[in-house]
Amino acid sequence: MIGETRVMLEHAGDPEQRTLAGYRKHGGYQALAKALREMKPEEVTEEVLKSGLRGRGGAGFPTGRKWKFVPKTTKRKYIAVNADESEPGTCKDRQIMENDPHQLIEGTLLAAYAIGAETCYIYVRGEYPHSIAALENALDEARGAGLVGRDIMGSGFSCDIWVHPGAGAYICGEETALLTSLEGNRGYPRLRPPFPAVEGLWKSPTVVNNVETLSCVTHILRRGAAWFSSLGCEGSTGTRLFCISGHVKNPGVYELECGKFTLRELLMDLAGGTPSGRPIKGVLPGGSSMPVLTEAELDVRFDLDSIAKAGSSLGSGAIMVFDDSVSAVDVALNISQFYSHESCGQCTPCREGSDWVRLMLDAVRRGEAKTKDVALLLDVLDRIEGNTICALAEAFCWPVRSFVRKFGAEFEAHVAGRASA
Amino acid sequence: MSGSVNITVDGKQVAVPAGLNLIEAARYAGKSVPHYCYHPRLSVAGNCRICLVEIQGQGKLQIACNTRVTEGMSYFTDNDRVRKAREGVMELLLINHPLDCPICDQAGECKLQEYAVEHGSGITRYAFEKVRKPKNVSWGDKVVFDSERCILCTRCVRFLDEVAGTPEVGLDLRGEKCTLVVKGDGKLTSPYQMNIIDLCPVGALTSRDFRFKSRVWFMHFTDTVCTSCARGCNTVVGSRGDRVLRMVPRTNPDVNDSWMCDFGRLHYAFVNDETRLTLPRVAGKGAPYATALQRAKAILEGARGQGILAVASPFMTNEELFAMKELLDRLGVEDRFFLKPTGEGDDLLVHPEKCPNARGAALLGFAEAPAEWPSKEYGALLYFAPHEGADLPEEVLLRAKRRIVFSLKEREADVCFPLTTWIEKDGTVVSAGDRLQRLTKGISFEPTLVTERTVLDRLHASLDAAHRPPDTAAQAVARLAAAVPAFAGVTWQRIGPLGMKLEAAGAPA
Repeated sequence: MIGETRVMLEHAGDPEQRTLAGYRKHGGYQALAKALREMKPEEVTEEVLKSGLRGRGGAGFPTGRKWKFVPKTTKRKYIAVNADESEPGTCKDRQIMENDPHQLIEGTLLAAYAIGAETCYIYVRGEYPHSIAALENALDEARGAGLVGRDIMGSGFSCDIWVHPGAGAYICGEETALLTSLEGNRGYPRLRPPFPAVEGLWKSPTVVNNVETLSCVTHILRRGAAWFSSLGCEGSTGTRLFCISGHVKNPGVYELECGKFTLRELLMDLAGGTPSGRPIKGVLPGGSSMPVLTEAELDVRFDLDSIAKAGSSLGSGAIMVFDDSVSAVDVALNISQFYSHESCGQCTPCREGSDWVRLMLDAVRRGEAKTKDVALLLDVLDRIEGNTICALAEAFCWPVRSFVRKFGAEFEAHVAGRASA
Repeated sequence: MSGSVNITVDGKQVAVPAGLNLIEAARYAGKSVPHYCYHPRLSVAGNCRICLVEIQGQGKLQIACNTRVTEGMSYFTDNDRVRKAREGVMELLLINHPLDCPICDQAGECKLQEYAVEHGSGITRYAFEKVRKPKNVSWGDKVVFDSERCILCTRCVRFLDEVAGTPEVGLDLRGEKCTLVVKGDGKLTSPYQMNIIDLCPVGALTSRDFRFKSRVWFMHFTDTVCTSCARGCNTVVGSRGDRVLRMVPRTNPDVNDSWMCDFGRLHYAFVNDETRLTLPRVAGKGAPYATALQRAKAILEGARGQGILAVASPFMTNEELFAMKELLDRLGVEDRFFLKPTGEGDDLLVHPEKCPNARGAALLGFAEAPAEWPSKEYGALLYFAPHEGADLPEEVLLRAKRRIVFSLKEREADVCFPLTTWIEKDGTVVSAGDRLQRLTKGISFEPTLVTERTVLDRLHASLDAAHRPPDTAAQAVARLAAAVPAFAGVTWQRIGPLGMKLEAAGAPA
């Protein structure tokens, strides 16, 4: 039987945990105290590197390596916490922010200490008023206790943290658009190079880390890299939050160790299978921007690298399940509607292409497309994917292509006007 | 060779200066990489995606504008993969474009048209209704915006922010609905705003002054310089039927980069003024040049001994000023002045001297008009009235018994010769920083008009049969160079289309 391993959510059910006193009762800020008193900044980075922690925002980049890109010589540096949790199906970071915000604050301070940043911004999704309030309250308490601000715990290290609400654009969860938005500009992704770790906020080195990633940092420093990497499996160490939604009996946010079970076991045992008892038709294992896995592909081992080998990704940890009552064309159209609405409009292929893809899928759905239009759809996806400034184009190209490839017969049926749905 | 790197472009090895981006570097291999948003004088935006190239060893195609050459780099600007991506970008740029080329002012000089022919597939596969956006939007009295034609390259946004220093255009809405907007009341304020019309690679920004006047392929284009101030911004004048229709900047890194001010750009109405003088007037009546020249000769000869006042114009070319100097030398005239119009300058291009050649006049021995004119009486006045700025004070005019005046418009004088404007003759001027630049003839306003240098030389020849005036502008420059040390060594050829620094003039750089 698959069970949860609760680290980040261990005390999520305890309302006391939101307060500084409650957080301290469970060892809160001891990792920070130890780091500030006993460790050099580069030792903090080494510990994170050793833990095998990979980013939890979607791309899965090793966190310690990201920190190491930051030039040591530059004086002004920043931490930007990506709390703009907007990927459809994703609702894990708010669990941390609303139920245990201090672990994020502690992790942010540890990261700031490691790279030498004195200012941190938590960029929170604008539609998360509860998260914003919880963070503000926690920060007030932490500031009052000398844990945030000047000369933290008498260590000489000063660091302030500010909460910045987003204004409703999905694109601002893209790390460079987040930075542009933080600077007060229109949320446009930036060209890379330069990468944010070298040139981020106001042209200064900036590390952008996800809420869950930084929360892991707290636990790594509290209990050690060896303990962290003993959890999960190689390539997917520690625990990870997954948001299971859609056609499952037990939807919700789960904290799991990867590599211990298959995707099928996860969905059938923990999530309880479909409420209708109908067979699972497809699963988006990492948010709406990832390729779909079909029922036949569910026996893949559940970890970052195995899912990647199966042609998809754990992405932001949002697992969306649909049973065979759902039309693949409808899902693809729904996804394309979202991304065409959220395309920022900066670069040509995504601005023009996202809407064209939506229109083509809409025509397929209405039975107004011809057989050759499905080939055209795939060809247009080819011209968009990989040719844009940021990954939003891939975010609709990947799932849409996967739906056409894996559920081709349904698309054929629609274009022939024989769709039952 | 230090400062250069060896690269391979489409299989061809070339050495290029280090630090170049892949668009500029490709030129060394004779390859041109298409681009919309990239402009060498603006920051890199990388949004149009038409400049995608394949760099050997890199998985994804990269935009050439944001990538710099490195030693040993090999890239492809024209292989199948690049062509397919480029064709894709071209197609995507056009799916929502109105394709209203028949009524679009940009037609004939539109990068969408050019690249569609060169890189497009020639057909459209888009079968849906195009996105509707605001059209014929007034951005004030100079610029008109059509959002449907706009490809959102943001060259205008970046120019106003980075060059003009007035970040007044921004973006609104998202995705395919995205559009440019002018902040505040929706009207542009920059005195350099019309540069965004030139920068716009498509027909989204058009000039209220020029639009619908002519298809560009019917026009004649002349490389010359602007004469509205001493900066001497390099320009291309577009004309049709011997009338000026527009002026746009011509790139010259030493003078004006790729820009010019709106005032200079729009300051040409006086050229096309149909009420201009096109034949000389003698005692208020129209007269052939021969008659006017005879009368002028008689006035100048009659005034010898009573003194002659010569007032040149800083709108004259060096060659005209030199012809005048030769005539005045011959007549023994001592009082030689010019009137210099001045006004406000700015930090970018606008110079406080509101004329093209005050420096040339000074180098050729004319003194700036004094605050107090000599209280002498003169037998004659030889006066080139400036196109604009203060005229000669009435009391000075009246101190001369007889008056020979060169003017754009008829004025009271014993003899009045028509002036020609800067676009009606070849010649040189000395711009700010002692930069010698060429004016080039683009139109003949009226076939009857004789240019000032010819009038002065004919007058001179009538007084001195030995005077052998130069014929062409090149000959006139050679004569000037031989006689005046500040112009030593200068030739028409050497000045070239971008001008040259007059080192011998001795002004600080």
